Amino acid sequence: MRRYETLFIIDPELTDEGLKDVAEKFKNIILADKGHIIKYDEWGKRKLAYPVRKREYGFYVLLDYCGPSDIVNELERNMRIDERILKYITVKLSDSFDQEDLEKMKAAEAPEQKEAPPEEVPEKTGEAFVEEETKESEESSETEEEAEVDTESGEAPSKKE
Amino acid sequence: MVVRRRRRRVFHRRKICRFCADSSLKIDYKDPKTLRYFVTERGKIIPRRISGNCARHQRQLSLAIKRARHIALMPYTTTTTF
Repeated sequence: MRRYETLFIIDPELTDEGLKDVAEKFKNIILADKGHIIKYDEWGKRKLAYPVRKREYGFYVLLDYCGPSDIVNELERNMRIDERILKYITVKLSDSFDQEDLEKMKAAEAPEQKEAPPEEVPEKTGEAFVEEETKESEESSETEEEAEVDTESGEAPSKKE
Repeated sequence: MVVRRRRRRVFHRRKICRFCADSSLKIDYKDPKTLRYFVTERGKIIPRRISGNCARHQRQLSLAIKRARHIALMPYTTTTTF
């Protein structure tokens, strides 16, 4: 068994029922091929970085599962056929994944969810971003200066002196 | 001329790989917020010589950015006119 994750985009113009329908369909495909669903995480409607099939928004879903390698072929084949799926990407997370690992993960996840702090996270990330931005601007100005020095010393030394 | 060059040398700082320095920073194609610091405004991947990343992390980073582009989390290019 291998562990994979598939991130796919569903047409945002579907109704809630339509979304459920899609979820059911792909869950069943995995279960039919002797796979196990670890997580079905709906990210919700997000703006796409570029329009896909003339749609500016997409409904992102992250599907985390494990199973034999044929499962990816079958899942992707169905996604290609399905008109409601705009795009998909599958990434292998680990080569070997057993039933034991699955149970361990379930056991580990259950207490984590209770303890997770909900409030602090957004503030911290905001500060970090500001810091990083300033760093980057410093770096870029440095490199510009370096480039200037090179041209002066290399091409036109006589003019300056 | 020589004096000017020397003065500028002072500004030269050795760049460090941000991912090596901070092990809590993960490279993940599903996280465009982090990846955005490593592309230009136009969406091009910033080269290693400028960002200061080590070879290993730059490789992982470029793969992550390409995956993010594929799934429309990041742009291949921007269409804004300047």
